[in-house]
Amino acid sequence: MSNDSLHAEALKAAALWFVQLSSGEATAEQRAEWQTWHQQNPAHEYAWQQIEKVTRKFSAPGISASIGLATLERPAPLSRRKTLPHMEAIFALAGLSQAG
Amino acid sequence: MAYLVQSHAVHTLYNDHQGWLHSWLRNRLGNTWDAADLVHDTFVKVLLKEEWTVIREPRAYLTTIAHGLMVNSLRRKDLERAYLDAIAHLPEDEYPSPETRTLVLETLIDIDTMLEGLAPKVRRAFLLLQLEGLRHGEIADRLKVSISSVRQYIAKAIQHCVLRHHE
Repeated sequence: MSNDSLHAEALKAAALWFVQLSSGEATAEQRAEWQTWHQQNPAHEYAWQQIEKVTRKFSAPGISASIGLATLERPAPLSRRKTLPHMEAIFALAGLSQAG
Repeated sequence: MAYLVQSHAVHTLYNDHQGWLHSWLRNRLGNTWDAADLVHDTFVKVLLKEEWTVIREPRAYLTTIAHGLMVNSLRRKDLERAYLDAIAHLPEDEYPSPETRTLVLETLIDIDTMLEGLAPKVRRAFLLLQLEGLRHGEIADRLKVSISSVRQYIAKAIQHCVLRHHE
């Protein structure tokens, strides 16, 4: 898909609306303002649709909070690889203490 | 026909470099079967490329594609392992079917790909919001940052995800 119809400004505004509406503290007045913003411009509507496509992924069946966090917050393989020299140092020390 | 020319060229490319690419991948993956799979996938990807350009440095070209495939394949394995661990304790009647497991894994891979490149705290703030439905103040407490930082993290994360997903 091209980025032609996704305007940077509209996405930025949509992201700020997303923050506001996801706070759990949005007032009825703010919701009405969002509605106005959403209907004002097709670019706004389009940007909001893209946000909904992203958030819908998280409510797919089978993705609970615990499964989602356990998998998506797993230690990164790259950072694990970065700890390798450290692990080697630990093994070396373990070897030394065994020898001694 | 362009296709014949193209497939002929790929065939030559394959004959000249597949052995070398296999060694390159085997050195990184540490096993010959995964390396053979990725050699295959790399050439399929080359064959399916729509734009056909003159390849001046075939090995650099092939390793760029193979590296991307290798990263994806490692990500998939890593996520699959984490997912199977996460559901291991479920009682038999709640354990997802193979079809459901495949679908969930695909969604997790999509989400993981979307989140790639975000700073750890930004990623975590967004996940706590989306998965646990925490309020901004609760996320701030968990991450030991201010609420205004949480708001910035969420705004950043959602834009990042939209742009990655939209590509």
